[in-house]
Parts: sequence; C-alpha cells; structure tokens
Amino acid sequence: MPFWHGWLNHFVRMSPTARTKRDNAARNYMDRVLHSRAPVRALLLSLPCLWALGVASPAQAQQTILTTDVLSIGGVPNTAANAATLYINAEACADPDSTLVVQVNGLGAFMNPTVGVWVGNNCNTNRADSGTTSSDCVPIHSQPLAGESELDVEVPIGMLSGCEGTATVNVWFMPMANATSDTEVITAYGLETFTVDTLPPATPTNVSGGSGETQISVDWDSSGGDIQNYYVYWDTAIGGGDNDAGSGECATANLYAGAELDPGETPPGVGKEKTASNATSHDLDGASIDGDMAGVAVQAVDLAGNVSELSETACIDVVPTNGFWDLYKANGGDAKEGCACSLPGRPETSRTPWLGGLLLLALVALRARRRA
Amino acid sequence: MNRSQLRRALGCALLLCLWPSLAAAQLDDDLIPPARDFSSPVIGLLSFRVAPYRPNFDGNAAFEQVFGNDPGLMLTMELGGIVYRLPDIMMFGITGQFGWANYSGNTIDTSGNKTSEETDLTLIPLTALAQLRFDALPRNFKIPLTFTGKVGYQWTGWDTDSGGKDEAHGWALGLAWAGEIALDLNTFDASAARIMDEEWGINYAYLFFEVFGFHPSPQSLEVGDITFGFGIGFIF
Repeated sequence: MPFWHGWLNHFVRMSPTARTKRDNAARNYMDRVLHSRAPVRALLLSLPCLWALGVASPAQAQQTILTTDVLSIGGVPNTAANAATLYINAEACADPDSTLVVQVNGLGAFMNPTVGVWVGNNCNTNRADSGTTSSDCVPIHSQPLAGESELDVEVPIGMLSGCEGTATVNVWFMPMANATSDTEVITAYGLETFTVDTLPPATPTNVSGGSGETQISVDWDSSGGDIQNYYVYWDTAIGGGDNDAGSGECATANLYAGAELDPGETPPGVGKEKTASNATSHDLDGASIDGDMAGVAVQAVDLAGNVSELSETACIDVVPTNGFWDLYKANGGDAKEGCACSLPGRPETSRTPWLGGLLLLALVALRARRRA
Repeated sequence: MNRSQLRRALGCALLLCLWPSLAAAQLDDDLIPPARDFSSPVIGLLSFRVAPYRPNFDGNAAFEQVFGNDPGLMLTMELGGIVYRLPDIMMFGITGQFGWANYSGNTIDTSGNKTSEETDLTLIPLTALAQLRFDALPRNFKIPLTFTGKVGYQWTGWDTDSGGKDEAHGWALGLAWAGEIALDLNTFDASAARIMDEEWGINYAYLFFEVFGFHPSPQSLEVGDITFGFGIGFIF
C-alpha cells in the first residue's frame, strides 16, 4: 500500500470496503503510469518544443538553411541525382579557369551585400564565436548580392583546399555583411559537399585480342577500385607507335602503352567503344573496323571521371568466318530452315493420323478410368 | 424341468453371460475406425532427367568440326497424367516432355583455323508420349524394379547463331521412344513413402535409367540420337 494512504486515513473516514477499493484503484493507476511508456513518449514529444524554444541550442535557432543546386562542375553540366556523390576530378582541379556553378536559392529575405563562399567544417558558426578564419574554415570567394532571391555563384575550383589526391570538401554559401570577416553573425547558409578525386584509376593489364568477323573479342584484367567504365580503342594504322617503350604488339602512333588519351577527343582513325563498369571483355564488330588487322588498347575511367593511361596494345584480326550452319551446308547438309513437318519416310500430311491416334488413345484411357 | 426346458435355460444363461462382451465388441467397432487406406489417388507424373545428347547429323562433319567431342548435356522435365491404373500391376499415362541442350564452339576462318568468335547450336525438344508403366514387382513381391515403355512424337526446335547473329532456326519432327528401368524407392522405406503421400500427395518416388531415341524426318535437321539418361521421378 502506498505510504500516503496511512496519512490520508487520518483525515478521511472511510469504510474498510471503500478504503480497499480506493487503495486498489490507486495501485492500478501507479502501475499503469510506471509500466507504460507514457513518460518516455512525453519526454520525446517535448524535445522538439524545447528545441524550438531555444533551450537546446539558442545560437543555431536563428539560422536559415538555404537550398542549393549544383549546376556544373568544371564546365560539365551536373546531371547527378540529388543524393549522388558530387565528384571533382583531376581535370577540373588542374584547370585554373574551371569553376563550380552553384545556384543558391531563398536569398530574397536577406539584405546582406555579398554571398561569401567558405570551405571547411562548421563554417556556419558565428564568426565572433568561433575565431573564424582558422585553417579549418577559410573564405575562398564572394559574390555581390543585390536583392536577388537566387544567385548562381561561380566558385573557382582551383581555390578549394584539398583539391589534390582524394578528399571531402564542404563548401558553404552564406549571405554576409563582409565576405571575409571574422566577426559576423551568420543568419543563413547553404552547404554542398564534394568529393575531390584527382588520382587516376589503375591501368588495365593483360590485354589480348581475338579474331573473327562480327564478334572479335578483346579481353583484359580488371583495374579494380571505383571504375565507372572502360573504353576499348582500336586503330588500323599499325606500326607508328612507340614500340621502344614496350607498348606491345600492334601499337600505333595513337595507341601505345602509357599514352594519355582523352576519351572526349579521339584522334582521327581511332575507334572507341564504351563498356560496363565490371567488364573484362568486349566484342568488336569487324564491320566497324576499316581493315583486316588492328591494334587495340583499353583505358579505365573512375567514378570521378579520371582516366587511366592506355594499356599495352594487342592485335585483332578481322577475317571471314564460317559458323556451324555454314559448315553444315558446306559438308552437304540439306536440311531446310523452318518447320519440316513430316514423319520419317512419309509425306508431309501424314502427321495427322499419328497425332489423332495418340489423342484417341488418351480419350479411350480416360473413359476406361472413369468407368473404373 | 424336462430336458428341452433345461437346454433353453442353459442357452439363455450363456447368452446373458456373453452379452456384456458382445456389447463391448460392438462398442469397440463403433469407436475404432477401420484401417485407413493411406494411398491417395494416382493422377500424374513428374520427372527430371539429365542425359548426354549428341545429335548424329547423319555423318555430317560440321558438328564435330565446330563443337568437337562435346557430348552436350540435355536437361528434360516430364509432366503428365496417369489416365488408367490397374492397381498393383500397371498404369497408362500421357505425358509431355520439355528439354534443353546447348552446344558452343568457335567459328572457323577460311584457312581452317578456329577464331575467337563463338557459334552456338541450341535444341529445345518438346515431346508428347504415351507410356505404360509396370509396377507389379514392387507392389506384389517387394522387388524394387519397375519397367516403362514410352512412344510418341517429338518436335525439336533448333537455333544456331554465329558471331552473335542468328544464322538459322527451325523445327525437326519425328518419332520418339524410351525404355526405362526404375528403382522404386517406396519399397525401401514404406513409412517414409506413406508420409510423402499424406503430406505431399506423392504416391511413388523412383530413380530411373532410361534409354531413349529421336528419329527426325529426312527433311528435318538431323538432330536425332539414341542415348541414355538418369533421373528422378514422382507419381502423385
């Protein structure tokens, strides 16, 4: 019995039955409260309210999160899905003129004169509080803001810290009074995260070529890692390559081991086909190869778009071939295509009695079974 | 009391004495059901067969030239109905078979050398069969052997391609037959067989060895062969 019931009994006169009933009711109520999840639920429900009231984080409550859209990376329009990783590759990092173009939305409500672009971790903390321009969080760019609700901010890629090797870079877009100030209250910010990858994938090895007419195979060993696809190149101008560098058989002036070929700018006379990411073999159609022999080489492309050096070259032969059917005919085979609908030694129409006989037999058996 | 009266009195006394036991016997008959026939009706057959299959092509060398000595592997499924059953002696069924076999090799260039280009031949036999299954030995004498004869009509769809392109395709039609000897598994474990029947409706299970043949018409591609195969079957 709860301890207060004894005290209560001093003040309230009750019959023993009524007292027992009251005690049981009280005990049931306390059991329900103590054994239900109601207190936990109430606490969880109150958390957002506490947050909204500024109890949890009064400093962050004033900041508005701006939506941003990455329009292009290094001049290449961004077609990646919303949740996809955004890569900055070696080509974009190396070009001094290449930029990220990011559209920052929802700026109409802010009267700040500029949008500052910062790189680092937690750059949205108020400048006066954080000490600001630490090595971890640095301003790299700013762009005037004159009352627009959305602004295409062009960020020079070369200014991103960590634009070498592989790194994750957070880029912050913030309406500010002074884009580089170390005493600033941050009222709004947008954030985009990029993965910088400037390392090329491993070069495919053990390239070998086959022979055939419409299905000439080229095989290689996988590069491993984050491969997006492979390119298989061919060139019939054999002999002009840097054979001294050990580029393998059938090297050409354009295709040789270690050549740095831009997939977007294939040299004249060189053919190219794209494969799947997990491919280690690809078939070329002889009809697309202008000649009866060609050199082939393979190049890997990673998810960031970095390309490997060209593999060693191999030879392929384009030759007329005979498949099974050609050889069957050549060996005197006289079967016709399509339906040869007749039974051995009988004219074409004689199949009907056979089929009919089978059907009749089945019907007779069914009838006999029903009778049984 | 004369003799006849005495005889009548003794008869009544005997009847009275026996009455309780007769009544009890009557009661037992009411309570205990007669021995149940656990065998469910036999309605169909399902079997799976694996067999080496090498079309003979009537001596045409192309098959050996391209596919070498590859014996191939034909997978076949047979499904059908048992239309007549002579209990513990034999059954007559009508079944259909569906099979698949594929042969792969390399094309040959004009110099007679094999290239890296592939050429294929695929066979898909569809067969309608009438079959007589004799199972008197296992049912009556506990000898676990059954014998089956099958005869029917086969349509074999064939397709050949080379270098990734379709070269030719068609149908070969002709007579098909098979002779089967099977090891009746019910004979070895009757209780397991009963459970199979009660739980799954499978009356008999068997492992079989089969010799079979296909004789296509002369106009057809000569994809016939006489060969053998192994498999497992269920009668349900």
